[in-house]
Amino acid sequence: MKISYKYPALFIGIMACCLFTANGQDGVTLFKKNCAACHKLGSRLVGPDLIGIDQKRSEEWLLSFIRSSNAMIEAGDPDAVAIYKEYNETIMTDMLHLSDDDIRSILAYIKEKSPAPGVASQEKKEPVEVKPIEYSAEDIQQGLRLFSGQAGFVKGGPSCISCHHVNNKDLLSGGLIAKDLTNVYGRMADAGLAGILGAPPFPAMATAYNNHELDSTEIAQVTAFLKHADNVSHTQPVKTGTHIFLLGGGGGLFLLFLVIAIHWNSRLKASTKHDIYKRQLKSI
Amino acid sequence: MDIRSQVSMVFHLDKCIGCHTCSIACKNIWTDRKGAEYMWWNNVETKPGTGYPTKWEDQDIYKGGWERNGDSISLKGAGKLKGLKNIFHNPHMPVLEDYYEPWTYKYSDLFDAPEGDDQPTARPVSLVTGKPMDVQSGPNWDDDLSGSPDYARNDVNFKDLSVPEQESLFQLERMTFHYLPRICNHCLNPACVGSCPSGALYKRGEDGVVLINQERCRAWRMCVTACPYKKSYYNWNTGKSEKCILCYPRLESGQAPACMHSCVGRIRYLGVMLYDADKIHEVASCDEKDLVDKQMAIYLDPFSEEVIEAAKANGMAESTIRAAQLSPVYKFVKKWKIALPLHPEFRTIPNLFYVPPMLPAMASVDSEGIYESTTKSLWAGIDQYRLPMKYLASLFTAGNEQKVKDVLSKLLAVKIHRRDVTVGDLPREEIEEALSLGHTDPTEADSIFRLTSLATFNERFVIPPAHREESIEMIEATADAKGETGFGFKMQPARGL
Repeated sequence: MKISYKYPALFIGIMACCLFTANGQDGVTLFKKNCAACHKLGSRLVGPDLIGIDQKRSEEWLLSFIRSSNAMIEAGDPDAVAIYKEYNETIMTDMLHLSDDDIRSILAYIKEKSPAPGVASQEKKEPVEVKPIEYSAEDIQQGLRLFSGQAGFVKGGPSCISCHHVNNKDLLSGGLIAKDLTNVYGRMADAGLAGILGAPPFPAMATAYNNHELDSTEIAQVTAFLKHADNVSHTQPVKTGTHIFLLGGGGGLFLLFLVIAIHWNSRLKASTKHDIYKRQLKSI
Repeated sequence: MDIRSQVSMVFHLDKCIGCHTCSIACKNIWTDRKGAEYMWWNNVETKPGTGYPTKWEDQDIYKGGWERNGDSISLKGAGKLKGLKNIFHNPHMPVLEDYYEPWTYKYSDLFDAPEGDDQPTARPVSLVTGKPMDVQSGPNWDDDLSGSPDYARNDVNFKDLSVPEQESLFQLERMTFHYLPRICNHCLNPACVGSCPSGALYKRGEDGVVLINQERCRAWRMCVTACPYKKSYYNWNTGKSEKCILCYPRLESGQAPACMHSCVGRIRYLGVMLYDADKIHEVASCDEKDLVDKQMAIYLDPFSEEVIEAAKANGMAESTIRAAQLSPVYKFVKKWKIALPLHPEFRTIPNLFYVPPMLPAMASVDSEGIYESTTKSLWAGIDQYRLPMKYLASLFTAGNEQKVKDVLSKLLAVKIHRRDVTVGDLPREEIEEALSLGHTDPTEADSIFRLTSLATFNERFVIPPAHREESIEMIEATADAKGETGFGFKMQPARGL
């Protein structure tokens, strides 16, 4: 068990070191870097609108939710579970690298942007109707090429397929180290995907695309492909490979036994003196 | 040239009386241990016969030795792919029945049995299971059985003989046998070393003795399959394979190996041969008809300045070169050319040479069925030999009958010359004819006679000083190491014992 403590501690330690270098960042920068991919002030994106969040929840609750929403949902906090269910069971990435002060400065920024408590409650905002963008066939095609790595990103970022899988007949099986993106468009929609692709909030993805950002055309093209993949996903055959695995296993076993049987048959079956021994009288 | 030294042997088959003293001497020293009872590092076979283990010469059964493979050679039953394929079941190994189940007798019954109507007997008890058993076979079960249908007629060397030729061999008047004592050949191209997946087998640099490192052996038993002479044995008690060690602890202290020292007929000779290690591949992979000649050519003249210089450059001690010059093996094999390797077609380049047996016809049955015990000339000439040349050629020259004839002609010439010297009753022409047929002269014949019949201990065994004191004095006190060489384990093996 020693090791399992060591690694998170090491991770936090490294993150803390990184933070010292980012100490001078204010709430705006931190918000853009960590939150803006999924959250907006004034409208819903992937995650909830954050305007007036300081009024809705206590600071203590916010601190622990932002640090690790996973832990709170697992612990069964009713509010956390409710939010989780409301947003298509999409988990918010843990922000373990943010210190309490960082989170407080983000919250301060949100508070600054929010209208005064009284005003906010009076002004009933109409929910903004998000209209899905229509993409052209060329965009979809180019998106497929970018996703699969047939075409490279302008700034040299790695192609999506190296970590992600999308179930589509035009695509090879993708990587399994990150989420399956077949239906990601349904969960995230245009704005969400654009946010994540523009400024990835996930540590591994952020590192991978650091200094290799996607430009807006590429984002649109990849999104176009993901939308297309989502739309046609129910018509795509599911490539599980189970039957190949079973058939191959069974066939392989049969072949193995066959080879063993052939070899077994060519063994020495009797000693060179078998006939002599057989003839001899036995007393025992 | 890469000159190395090899301790080689000559066994003079005409002198072997088949007493098995060599086998017993070896067993008493080395293999009188649990798990080693069935091992006969030295054994004496009756030929024609099937030998020990039964039919060991038949490589269609046991897949031993090398086979030619284009310009090169590969192991018949082991090696990388074949070894991997068979690594867990080794299908071509001799089983216990091909050897025999070792036994002892329950001697205590002779003394402790309660009084009864019958005389007490000592029942045979298996040394493997410890239970009473029926003795079905033994290591020399076919001893002296030259006409037996089970053993003599199944001799593998009959494969090239026609049925009438074989039948004539078993006519009472022609029936014959000779003995074939065998130990490990300490080959120049050992198949056992080539087959070992653990790298436990090695050929000692200083004298060419082939050994199994008991600490590295992992009981794969590839060497048991690979050795065409079946001289590597698996010890079921220690879980390691063992083989003849040419009594290296005795050699290192200047003594002849136990089998040779104890030999009643004084048939055994031991000495150093210098050979060119660069030529091993060429010899082992050459055409079958050239095998004997090429092997003879790999051994070099220890008197040649060039050879001596190259040997010294290779770090060989002067005492070893001196031993090579005095070597009786060099005389028999290279100088007189009257000793031949056993089954050279296995391509291992064996270093044990045999002077083939004479077995002259002493009588015959003529066309009228009359038993005729006189011959035209003394020993009737080699064409009247009781064993067909084809048979001896199958044993010693990979089928080349002329080679055997050359050797036998020379041996006959020596006999006729010595008859002339000691009795002097033969016509001059007969002696001259025999000497010219044997490509020899009276001087050479006298030397062959002397080394064959009158040689002293020091002439028969020219053992090069091992200089062990030099090799260990840098790291330990030589006095401490004195008397410590021997067989056994410095560390207990993980399993067994």
